[in-house]
Amino acid sequence: MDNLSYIAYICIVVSLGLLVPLLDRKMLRVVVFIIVGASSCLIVSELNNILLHLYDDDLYYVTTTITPITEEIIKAVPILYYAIVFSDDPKQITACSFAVGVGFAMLENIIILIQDIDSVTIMWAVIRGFGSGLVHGICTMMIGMGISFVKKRKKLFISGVFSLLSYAIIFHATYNLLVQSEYRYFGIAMPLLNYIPFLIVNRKDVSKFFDKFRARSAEKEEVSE
Amino acid sequence: MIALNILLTVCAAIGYGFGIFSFFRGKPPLYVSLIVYGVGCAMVGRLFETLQLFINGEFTGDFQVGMFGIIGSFMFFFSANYGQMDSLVDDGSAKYRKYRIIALLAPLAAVLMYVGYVIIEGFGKSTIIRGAETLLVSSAAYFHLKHLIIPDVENGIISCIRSYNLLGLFYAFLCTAEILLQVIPLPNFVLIILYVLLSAVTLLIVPVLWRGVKKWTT
Amino acid sequence: MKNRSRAMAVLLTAAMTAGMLPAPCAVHAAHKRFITGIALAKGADGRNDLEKEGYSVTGVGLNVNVESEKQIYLGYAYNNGAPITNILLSPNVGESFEDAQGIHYDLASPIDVDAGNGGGTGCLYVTRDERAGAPLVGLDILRADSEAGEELYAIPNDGADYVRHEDGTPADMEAHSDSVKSYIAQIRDGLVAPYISEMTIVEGADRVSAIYQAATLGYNYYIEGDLDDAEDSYTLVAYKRTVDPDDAITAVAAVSADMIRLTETEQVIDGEPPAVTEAPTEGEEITEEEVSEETEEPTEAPEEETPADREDSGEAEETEEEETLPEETEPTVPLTGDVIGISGTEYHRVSRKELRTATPCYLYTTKDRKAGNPIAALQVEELTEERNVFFGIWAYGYFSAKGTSSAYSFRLNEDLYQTFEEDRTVYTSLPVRLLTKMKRQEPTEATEETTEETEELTEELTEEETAEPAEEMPPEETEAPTAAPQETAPAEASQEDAPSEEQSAIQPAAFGFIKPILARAEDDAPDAPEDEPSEENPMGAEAEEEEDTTIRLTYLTAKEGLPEMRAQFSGLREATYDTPLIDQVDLEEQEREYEASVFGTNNLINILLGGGMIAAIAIGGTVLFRRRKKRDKTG
Repeated sequence: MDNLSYIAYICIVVSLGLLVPLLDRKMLRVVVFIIVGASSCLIVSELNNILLHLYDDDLYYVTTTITPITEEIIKAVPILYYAIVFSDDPKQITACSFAVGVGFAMLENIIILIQDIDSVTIMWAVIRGFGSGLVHGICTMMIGMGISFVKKRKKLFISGVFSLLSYAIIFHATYNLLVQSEYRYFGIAMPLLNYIPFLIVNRKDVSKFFDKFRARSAEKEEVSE
Repeated sequence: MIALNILLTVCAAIGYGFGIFSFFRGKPPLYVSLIVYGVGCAMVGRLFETLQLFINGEFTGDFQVGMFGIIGSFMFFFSANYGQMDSLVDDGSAKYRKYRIIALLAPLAAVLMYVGYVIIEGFGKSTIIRGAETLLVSSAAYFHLKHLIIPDVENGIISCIRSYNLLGLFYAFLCTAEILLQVIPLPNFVLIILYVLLSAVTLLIVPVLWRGVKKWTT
Repeated sequence: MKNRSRAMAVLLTAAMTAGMLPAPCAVHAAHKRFITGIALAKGADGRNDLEKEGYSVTGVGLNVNVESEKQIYLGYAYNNGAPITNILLSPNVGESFEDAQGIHYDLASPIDVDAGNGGGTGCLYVTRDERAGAPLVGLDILRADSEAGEELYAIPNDGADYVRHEDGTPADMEAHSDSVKSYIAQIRDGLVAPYISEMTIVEGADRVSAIYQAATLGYNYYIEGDLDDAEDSYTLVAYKRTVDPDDAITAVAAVSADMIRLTETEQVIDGEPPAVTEAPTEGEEITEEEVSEETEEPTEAPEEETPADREDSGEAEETEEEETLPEETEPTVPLTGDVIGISGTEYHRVSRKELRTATPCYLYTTKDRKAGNPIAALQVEELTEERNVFFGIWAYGYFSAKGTSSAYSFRLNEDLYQTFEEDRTVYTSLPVRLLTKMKRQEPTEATEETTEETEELTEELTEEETAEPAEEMPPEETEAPTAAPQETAPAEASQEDAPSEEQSAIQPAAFGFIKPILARAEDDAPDAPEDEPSEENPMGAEAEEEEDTTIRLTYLTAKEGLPEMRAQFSGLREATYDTPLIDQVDLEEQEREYEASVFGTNNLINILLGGGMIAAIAIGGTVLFRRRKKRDKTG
């Protein structure tokens, strides 16, 4: 039963693929990038396996040090291609990056579930759903933000992408470190703590509030001077 | 060691938190954003190291992902200085040549410290990653020194943030010293002083920059 | 200048990219954990003091009968720092010294190891020099009473060794105690040696004494499973392992006494008395009692090394052999049956212990690569009508001596077994074949019943048999008829009174009966030849059917590209009293525990499928995007 991972992948991708012709351009992009994310996961699973053997099957070291690097790099490549060829609109890229992360996490959870079907519980599903989904989504989105500079600010692009990549790798590695320790709940809380403020700030009514707040504080400063 | 790492993480977190909070008070220039993210990157790197020490009691191997914190942090600084600021303060003309040459002293010093590290430690596996770290540190240090000494031509834009550049340069040397001190058997208090200084710099770097940047608009 | 700055920026980022993956790859090796420091502490609080300083402490102190106020505790640091490669006990000579090889040793602790008994024995010195050996992964204290201590045997291969003096003798940490001896065992990294280099058969009154017998002979692995059916004894196979495939055994054969005489004759006819060139291997080592039992063996058997001679390292063993053999043996006469030729390959008898099976036999091994690939594991299985029980694939490493209160043993081979079960392309399982007698049969007929290897045997032997007799025939052999080579063997055989008359009349043409079974005998060895199966039932099936159980010995040969053993020996102890435990990482368990990343199953399809899909999306998307752009421009 060693080939269940790509069987699961085919099941997901075919179903999502059927959806593609029915969607408008915005939705289509998201769905396609979910498929791309799942595909990246399939590639990464094998790369990780090869690396695991290279590192004497030292799973702990590999998961806390090596896989965050490979996963983040592989996930970033499709986004980079999209930004160069199609569009470097930050909003589009952010959405696409998050979709890649979610697609990746989706297949990752399914593969882990298949490999250890006896020990999974509802709690496991909830934890993995939030933890893994958010970590992959947030990390890819971070890199996507840097990639959006590809055409506009070329000076910033290369170093910006790598610094964001470093950030994402550490974030991912910290999550992996925590979920494998006895403090695994902190690991799950970590991406949530990052995601919730991001969600709030990105809401239109909230951002309007901040605009007002900024305007008021600017006025105050002028008065005081 | 854990206590010092916690101190560093907390100070970096405060500096980073201050930066993020200041974003709400006024839309920041990209230059400031990059510096804030740089401190954030250093913060997560230190957080990772602290957690690893806390969970495993030691670092797993000579290389651990936390090192990317310093690398990423200086890459942000480099991006900000080179991508955003340098073109404003240096038009590439011959009159600034001497400042460019003098500024080379900063990377030279960092490289010399690294050479010292390699001489003591010997060329081994860990020297590769430390070399990458030094490369980034020295490139950022070059711009910090240059922006510290170059005459201001554009409406005081660089003179407002000279104190920040001084701190940035100091931070770069402290990070290189951190590498070097790992292989020099010195009394513990030297290491403690180093970490306290590093903590202070990571704590202050964003507020000092912010104070300088505010002068741009006034 | 600007362009230069840009170029610099690009170079920096490129270097960063290039460094991101190789750097962790390069520094990964440092992750392995070793003994990186040791320290001693004295007194009742010694243990606590060491633990406060971050050391793990051995279960017992170095001084056995000393009260806790005077006890000396050994602490060790176990982490991924610079590993210690050897520990020496030396009189206190200051902070450091260099041994005869120029290896630099540093003082580990100024506390005398025998301080509890008044001191004066010396201090522990450590080195990190790679020349001193593989890094240490474990330490333990072995204790013995004084008498037993004289019989302690170090088993230096596979990583287990004692802390020694500079002159190489095991260092007693309690030299000033009359009643006890206390040794430090140091266990080195790289315990896994994938091939079997030497094997022997040992017999004891019970299982434990058989294991002890194996240990004293220097064999530190054995396979569970009594090979013969004598109720008053326990017979097992013991062996040594090696990392060198060229030093590995490549085939094992069981040969009956009759065949030994015959094949030996053929070797002589072939003109190559083998014992002249081949010194007896360790596999032939037996105790003196065994030698005396083997009265039917007409040769001057070399006196074996006593166990005490063998307490040093493998190198020492070899040199010792070279030194002692010329004095103790007369190599001008070949040892009867110690070396035989099968299929043109020299086989060496592993022990003069005869296996009391249905057909009594001896075990032979060869290291000739013509006989097969290196053997990686031996396996004993018990076959009954209802069930098959595997005993033997699990081998037990052993490091002990009579009288020691602690020792270690560890199970090896579980991963080997798993690999074998999962991937039969990596190993080939072959039963040890029993060469019992010859049959008048043309080679073509023989092929109907036997394997391809039999054909080979047939051809090879036929060639040998037609060869001219050699001049250097030993005295016993010269009595045999020298006319036709065909007659030599049967005459020899009848002279030795082994096979039936009918059989002895048969001219050798082929080994007809190559039976994959070492049947468990109901009777003892002397009667066994009479139980030989008739011609109608040449395979001895009748005899087997009568047995309740059958013991089968199988060996697994490694095919090309033997994968590294997946066992991870991380060293150190379990929580129980003073027994270092060699942990094996249970990969499956670990995978269940850690769910931080996704791992595939060595399936390239995943990469192709995932990569193909992304490529298809990229190409399709690009084409559609450009077409639409074109349409927008024109329309």
